[in-house]
Amino acid sequence: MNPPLRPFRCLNGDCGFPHGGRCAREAEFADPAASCVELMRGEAPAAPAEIPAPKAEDLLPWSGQHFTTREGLALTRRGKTACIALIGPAGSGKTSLIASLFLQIANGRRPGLPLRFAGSRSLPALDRLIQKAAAWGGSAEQQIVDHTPVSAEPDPGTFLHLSLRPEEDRDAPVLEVLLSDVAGEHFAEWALESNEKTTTRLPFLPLCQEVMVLVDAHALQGEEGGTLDMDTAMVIRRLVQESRSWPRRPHLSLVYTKLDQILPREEIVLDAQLWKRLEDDSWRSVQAMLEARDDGMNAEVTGVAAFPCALAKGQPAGVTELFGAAITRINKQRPWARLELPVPAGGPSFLCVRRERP
Amino acid sequence: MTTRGIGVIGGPGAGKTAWLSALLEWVGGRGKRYLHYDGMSSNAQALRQLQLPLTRQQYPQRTPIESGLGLDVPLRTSGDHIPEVRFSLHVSDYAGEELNKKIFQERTWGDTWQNRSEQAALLIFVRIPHNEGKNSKESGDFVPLPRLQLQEPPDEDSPEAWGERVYRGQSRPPAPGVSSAVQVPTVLSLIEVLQALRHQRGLEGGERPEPASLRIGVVISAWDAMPQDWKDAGPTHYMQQELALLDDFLWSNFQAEDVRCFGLSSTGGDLNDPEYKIKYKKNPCGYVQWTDAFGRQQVVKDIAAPLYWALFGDRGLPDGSP
Repeated sequence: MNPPLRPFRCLNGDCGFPHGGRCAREAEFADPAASCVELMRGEAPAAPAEIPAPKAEDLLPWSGQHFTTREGLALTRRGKTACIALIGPAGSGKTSLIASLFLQIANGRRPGLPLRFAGSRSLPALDRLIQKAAAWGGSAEQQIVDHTPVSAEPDPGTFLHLSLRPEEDRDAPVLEVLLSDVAGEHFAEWALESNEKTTTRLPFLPLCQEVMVLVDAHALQGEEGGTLDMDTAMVIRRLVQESRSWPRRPHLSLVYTKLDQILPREEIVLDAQLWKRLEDDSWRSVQAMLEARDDGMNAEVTGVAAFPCALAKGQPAGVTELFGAAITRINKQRPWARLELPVPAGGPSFLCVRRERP
Repeated sequence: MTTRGIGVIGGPGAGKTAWLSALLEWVGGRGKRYLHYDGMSSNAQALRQLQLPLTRQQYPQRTPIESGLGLDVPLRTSGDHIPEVRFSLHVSDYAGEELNKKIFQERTWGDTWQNRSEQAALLIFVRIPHNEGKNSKESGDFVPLPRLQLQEPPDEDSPEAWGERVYRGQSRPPAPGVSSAVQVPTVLSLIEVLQALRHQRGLEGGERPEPASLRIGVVISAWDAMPQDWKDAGPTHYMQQELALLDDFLWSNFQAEDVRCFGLSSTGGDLNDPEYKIKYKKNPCGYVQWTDAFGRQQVVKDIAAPLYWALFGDRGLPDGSP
């Protein structure tokens, strides 16, 4: 019996033939396997000498990966920024929601989101997410996107970035949107105790105008649903307490994710009947939201189905509407305090009748 | 005469090589032309290699990555409404590999790319996304464009074939619905390059450059293989619906009159068809389609039309007379 063939190796670093792709010298050889002198079977020769790192001036000005908190803070100082925090335990769907949003924008399907794509400094990072989502076959047992790892670095990547431009027919400035993408484990620690250690990874929270607390609607119905509900309520209460000392209290949304796992896609309607059903499974979290409202926060409840099926089979539900509402609220906010000019005594009459515009 | 540079970029298999080959055939061809050679290229051997396949009525093969990362072709325009302008057509990375591998993934771009930021116009070649819900192919795994329908190229003797085509009551591609597939965008590396070139020019995100200072022509290659309803709707509608991310990016960052979408058939038909091969040998030509400012579809044989537009804007586009 012949021994099994050893795998192909190619000395040409740009060749994809050993991996089932195209030979880099395909134009020269009709049959690369037979003719290409760089292609061989077996172990590759010793690795070549280390390739020197590229010079700084040959690098693109941005890394294309997640923004650190420092980079995000610098961006907020340059122009109008929408900083949206997605909070929730591991597996609640934070990263999936971001991937789904980007896919909707990329497809030009933006119901409820009256802005158009103007750029992103995180395109390679977003590309990785959507490629992983594209490979998902639709099975609930498979992960749609990679789990966001816990990081021990002092200021690791935190935000994914999008620039969006209002689609109204005037030269409106772009809005820089920062979406937090942080491992859920950090929020669980922080909810239990807010100290220097637990807040090290979450310094961006006070910057955010919108906070979305995500909870897996399907998991709420499971055996650990009560525990999940309790933990979610704890996160909400921690948020309410901590935000009292922030420069501006964010708008708070409780977002039920994975609605497709409790309802068929075509039956997902965000109505009172659905809320009643969800409330029965998450009464602790709902109670915490009511307390948040009583504490003076703007709070609402909504739901999404970011990936109800494989990409080839249908569209998500509620994703662009969720972010569209958040961004619209942010867009209406004044980035600075209103300037109050005193009306001088004895001045010209027109100054006395000056009215402030709402 | 003024001298300008026009850049041509696009991913692997986007049709840059095929168009360049056909363009060189067209420039040196018979009949009325607005585009002429302006001296010899510094890389004449590479240009000859490019033209060889089409002289044999064969498609140019995929460009080997190590056979040169750039070409410069000196050209000039003249005739009728076309001003006399000398320019150099830069096809950087005409293998398309650097776009995805080096720039998008490794985040490196050398002087050649950085110097492109000073060019007056860019022609961006795109291939039809064919990855509905599936993994998009890596740069080394390009799948040839599907030729589902072999459309007869416009008959050059027919007066209705060229010039303005008004489609009334024609079928349009259906708008996507709830059960439609979510497309995975394939233009991210192109957008990244555009962002980098804009940054090199000192443009902020969303800042539109001065009119006519930087034109962007999007060229959708293999237009002859498109289904008829897309041909009827036109390349602009195609870009709005199927390349929405790129369309939005260009709308947000460039003047409306400085962005134009073209449907291009470099060879006018399928060279694998023996009958068409004979026809092509006698009269090699392709065609270009675009949507004009009034929403009408214009079709011309002159495959240099995107170049005229890149240089002169709408006034440079031919009127379609054969």
